[in-house]
Amino acid sequence: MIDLIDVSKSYVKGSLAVNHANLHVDKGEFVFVVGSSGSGKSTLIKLLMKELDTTSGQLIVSGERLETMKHRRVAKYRRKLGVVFQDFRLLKDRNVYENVAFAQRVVGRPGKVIRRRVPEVLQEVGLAGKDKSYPDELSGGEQQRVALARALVNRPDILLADEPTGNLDPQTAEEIMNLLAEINERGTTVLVVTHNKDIVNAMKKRVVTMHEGVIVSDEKEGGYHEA
Amino acid sequence: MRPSTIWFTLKQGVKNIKRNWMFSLASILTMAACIFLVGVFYSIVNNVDNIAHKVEQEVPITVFFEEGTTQEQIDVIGEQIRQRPEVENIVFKSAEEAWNDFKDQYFQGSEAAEGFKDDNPLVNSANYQVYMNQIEMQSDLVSYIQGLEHVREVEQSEQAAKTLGSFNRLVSVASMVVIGLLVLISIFLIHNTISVGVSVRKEEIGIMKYIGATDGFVRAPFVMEGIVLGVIGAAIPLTALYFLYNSAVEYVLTKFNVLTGVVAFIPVYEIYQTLLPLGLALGIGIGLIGSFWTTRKHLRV
Repeated sequence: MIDLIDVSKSYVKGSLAVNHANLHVDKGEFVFVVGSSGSGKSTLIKLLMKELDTTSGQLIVSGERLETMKHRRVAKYRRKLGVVFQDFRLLKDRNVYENVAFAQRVVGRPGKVIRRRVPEVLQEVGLAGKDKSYPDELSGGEQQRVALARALVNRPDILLADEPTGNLDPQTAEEIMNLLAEINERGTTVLVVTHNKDIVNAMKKRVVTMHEGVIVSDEKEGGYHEA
Repeated sequence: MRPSTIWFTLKQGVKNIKRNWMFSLASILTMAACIFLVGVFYSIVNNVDNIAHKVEQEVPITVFFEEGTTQEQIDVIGEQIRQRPEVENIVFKSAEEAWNDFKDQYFQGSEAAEGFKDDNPLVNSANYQVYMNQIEMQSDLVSYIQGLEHVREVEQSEQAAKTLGSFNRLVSVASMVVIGLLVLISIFLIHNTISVGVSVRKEEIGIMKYIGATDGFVRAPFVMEGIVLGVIGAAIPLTALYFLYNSAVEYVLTKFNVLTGVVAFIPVYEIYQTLLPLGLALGIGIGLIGSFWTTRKHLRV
């Protein structure tokens, strides 16, 4: 599903944010990417989203070669991904339903499909009955659930989560991670960048550790190690 | 595009306009001023053109021949003149016809003319009356005819032609410059208005892009905003001009009585056959260019 072959990314000549990384993620896997600030985790997510271009190497996601992808193809490619961020990035002037429906409008789904699919996905993330609420009326955990619903509404192949629990208290963080695990069990490949040591250690999933742009370890049912 | 997507885009476009209505209003007013001036100049140039055209048709160049020129030679001259592209029509007047016209005009049936009964005093007055379709070419045509064999004299109404021709050129050039400047200002203002909209919605645009919105989808509401501004900016002056035109014509005709009957103004519906699509195209064009320019700069994520 995801293949990095000797991928490097440099912002300034000489220093590599991602340094000759090799990684293979199968369909349906759940992977944590961990590491300290500046280790290259967020750059990795941006490369996968095609927000950034690789400097060298091959990057293949869901059968598509990202390093040679033309700009006009990027939008279609991103529809295969669901993305959530630490700061939720919800539209404050729209209610929960509209925030999620927005993702379907953007990809041109007909109104009938939107009216059926949005309540369904809100149910999946545990937000049934909250569709009329505005983001400011929701707790952090609920906002992240809306973001998750928005990421999932178009049934992506891969879910990328960049520090999804960074703004949440431990209990809510655990709930969100459990939700991510459930989504994974339903068949979506999930890649989570996180700092959350307790959760990584508790969940016993595959853990990829980065340090100064290099993938220093890759363990099945691993734990959080400071590199 | 699905109907729901078009509806969504239109709603977003109108929302943008409402959200920064001050800028939108400034854009609309500048564009309205621009299109109003286009309309005013267009009406003036067309009416002057119309009058000049009438002069061209009504005041011919008269060509006289040397003494002893035969009818065959006159026919050859006629053929040569007829072949010039600026010539609309050419009429031959024999010496007898010229004398008859003269009699009608100056003796008005009086018997004094009978004294010349058998001796046409205008015996050398056979002539061609040449009617033109391009008044600016008059002096060219005159020198061409003067160069022809057996031509004695060419009379022309050069002053009227020159004055109208140069007036029209002046109005055209001045209007082009002013309109050009206003078009540029309008595009710049639309660009500013839409830039504000883009920066207000920067977050939303970012979200749209990573959800998988195409550039076209992200751009569409802004382009729609430009078009809506353009249509409103065109509709205001076009409506105003429609009513002002008739009042202006009436005013000119009452203020300058002498013009009544001499000058025929083009009816407003005739002017609008071109001005309406021209004004709308200009408004929509300015809106499109302004919005495309802005979104090209800001939307490549």
